[in-house]
Amino acid sequence: MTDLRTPPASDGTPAGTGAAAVTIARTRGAGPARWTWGQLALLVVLAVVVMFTVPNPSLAIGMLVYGLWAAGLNLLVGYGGLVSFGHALPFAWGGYAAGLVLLHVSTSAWLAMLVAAGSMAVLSLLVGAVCLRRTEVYFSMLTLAFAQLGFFIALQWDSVTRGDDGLSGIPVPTLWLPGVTIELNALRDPLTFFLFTAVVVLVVFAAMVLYTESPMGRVLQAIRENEERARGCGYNTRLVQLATFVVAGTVAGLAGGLFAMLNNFVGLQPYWLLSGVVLIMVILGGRSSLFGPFLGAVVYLLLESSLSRSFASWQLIVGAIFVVCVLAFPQGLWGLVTQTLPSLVRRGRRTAR
Amino acid sequence: MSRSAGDLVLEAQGLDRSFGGIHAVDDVSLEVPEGSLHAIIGPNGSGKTTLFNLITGHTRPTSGRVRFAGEDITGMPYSKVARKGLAKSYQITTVFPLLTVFENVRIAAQAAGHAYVFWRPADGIRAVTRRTEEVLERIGLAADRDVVASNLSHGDQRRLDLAIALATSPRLLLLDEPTAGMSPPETAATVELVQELNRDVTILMIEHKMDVILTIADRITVLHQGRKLFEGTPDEVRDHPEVKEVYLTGSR
Repeated sequence: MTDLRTPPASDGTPAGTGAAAVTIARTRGAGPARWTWGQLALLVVLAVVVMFTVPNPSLAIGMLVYGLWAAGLNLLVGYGGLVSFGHALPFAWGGYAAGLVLLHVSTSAWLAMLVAAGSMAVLSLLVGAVCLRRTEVYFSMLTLAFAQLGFFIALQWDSVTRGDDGLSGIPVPTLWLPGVTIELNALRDPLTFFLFTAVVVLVVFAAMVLYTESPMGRVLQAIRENEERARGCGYNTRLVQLATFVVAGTVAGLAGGLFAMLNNFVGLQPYWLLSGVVLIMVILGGRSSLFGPFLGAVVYLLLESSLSRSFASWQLIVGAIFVVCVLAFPQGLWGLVTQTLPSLVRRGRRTAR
Repeated sequence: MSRSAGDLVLEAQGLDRSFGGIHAVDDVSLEVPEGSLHAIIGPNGSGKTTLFNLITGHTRPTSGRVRFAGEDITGMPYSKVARKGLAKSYQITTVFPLLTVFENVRIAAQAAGHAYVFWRPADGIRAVTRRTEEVLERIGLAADRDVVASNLSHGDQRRLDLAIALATSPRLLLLDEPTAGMSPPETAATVELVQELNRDVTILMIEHKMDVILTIADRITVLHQGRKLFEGTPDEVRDHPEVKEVYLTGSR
């Protein structure tokens, strides 16, 4: 389908040695993968596998939500070369927005999601306009600063966010469809909630794949490669980056809204503490595709849920695994499957002959 | 070679730029008629690249105006100037290293009509694909269309650089030392290519290799210490005593 092809895995850059995620995103290995629309099929397969194998329904639904969030972040990190350290901001904002709508306005799931995504789109426009005045690590620092700002507002603005306690007792959202009304109760009817989330996630994911394949998405990748040259082709590069920032923020806002609907709770924890986690999911899964980060989110949550049961300091182990992953295969898990393995097989076949 | 002389594509008047008291470009005027191949020569540090940057909007002139196709573009941001049809090929090879040759050129080709389309796949836009294939064919990179740009040889990367500039369908092409770092056969091929391109694109180029300039340029501007020393046809430049003294003796 696409004309983008990943360079041979042997381009020999010391990709894993840079400690900062910025370095990772800038290393030459970030070439887009060959999988494009096939990612949709992969996502369906992954969702089905998660549905039948993950025993804890809340965890299974969480995987879809986090996966969507991480995939959206990868538009910035992998496709745009813009590493956001503050992607908890749109997620938390979406959560609070959906929570407040459900608490005070209406229990409509549509409205909650619309407000979560829509308000975050507007906010992203403002935040992005400021953050994108700088590039590279300065951009990252600005996103981090905005996330911190949001955290303190959420902490201090007691009358709206209920500060430390968070918004609890969010009512169960109702889904109005033509002819039917469905209660989205993750506790009593997890299957319905899972299927609903899966459909939403799939649709948004498809839209993101289209975005990366569109002329605009291709320019985004060209800007990552060489911004000056993209400008020389007549592109307003800031505009493309800002649009992507808004898309990633909107997707994260929607994911946050879904997360609030899933847990019937929004608070400082975990929402505001996830900027690093979602970045880990992206890097772990591989930033050369949209499916990679999704896979990374699923694997991360699996690790977390299985390890945290037996070790109090499970984060230590996850951290160690992450370090090994980055050093050993900076292309991420999905990069390992699509690039490293095929080249190994090819090499194996050659030696066998 | 100037077929429709009279129409000026580019007109620079009294361009001036100083960096901390040093006049990098000092009152330089330039007129490039449609269809011509105009060259700028001069020893290192004579202000050639600064002059280019003043034209493209990378650097703001201290004084003077630049008119492109009759429109004042002085101080306009480069991306906007590029959209108006002024393309530039870079002195240091500048391509999108991890994208394929085809995608490199396709990015430039889609800029004209489909720059910010996000609702349909790029590969489905036939006009852009056709334009890309046309440019690749013309530049002689059609066989390498699926090669990742960073894997090309130096000479081919320079050709790709040129292809990207050409794919935006410019009215004026600025070439900053298109044969820099090339072997003699590569240089010959590039000279041929530049001449071929000049059949439908106006070209303004900086070049160091005197033999290259004297064979292909219509008109030559000689810069020396930021000032215009002389302007004329290749024959006039070759015979001009002052130019010989400043430039030719040094280079041979």
